[in-house]
Amino acid sequence: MIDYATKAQTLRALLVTPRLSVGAGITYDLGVVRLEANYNYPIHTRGDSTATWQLGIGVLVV
Amino acid sequence: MGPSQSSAMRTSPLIARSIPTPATTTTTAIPADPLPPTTTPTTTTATTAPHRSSSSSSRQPKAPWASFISDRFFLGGPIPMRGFSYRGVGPKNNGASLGGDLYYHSSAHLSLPLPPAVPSAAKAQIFASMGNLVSWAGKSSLSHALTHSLTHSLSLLYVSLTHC
Repeated sequence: MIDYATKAQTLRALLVTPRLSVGAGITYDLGVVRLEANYNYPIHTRGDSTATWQLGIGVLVV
Repeated sequence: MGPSQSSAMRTSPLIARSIPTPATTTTTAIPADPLPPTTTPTTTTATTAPHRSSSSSSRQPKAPWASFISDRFFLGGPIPMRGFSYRGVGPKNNGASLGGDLYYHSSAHLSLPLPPAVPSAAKAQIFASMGNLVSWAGKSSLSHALTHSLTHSLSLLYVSLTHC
């Protein structure tokens, strides 16, 4: 027996309570590798753990 | 050393090399059964079989629709969802991320050039990220498989559109 009420409630929680964040930073492209240093400002956290400063390393997958 | 012992030593030279030469040690160190004399095979079977069944049952989900933690998605971090700590989005238990079965994530970036004195590989950016991750409670096995397939498809579509 599929609980459609629970499913609808889960989808509602997924769509109605999004987590939002904005920020600014500097990126440095090294070809396939991209380095980032960002300052973040979370808007809607819903109790989730946030990070103000973040360093990121991205790899470009072709 | 008797004739039977010397023939046994000839047929198994590898064991004979690893065993000290005194005859008394040789006769006690070549048992057919490697178990200690006090341990019988029946006792071993009786102690290991329930242990195996209990460990395998503890690895199974408590409900048919509960997913393993290795099958769940995690969201948050400097690349997938900026502003949130690594795996910081979604349900938690005592601060530990439990993951979820359904998620979405979208972000918009705007790159801006820096002054000419800065190397051209460096750029400024502003961004906004939005997403969520939930546990898909009350699902059947079919809907579980469909949910994961759909989410994987959307993720691959996102990656392909991003890097086109």
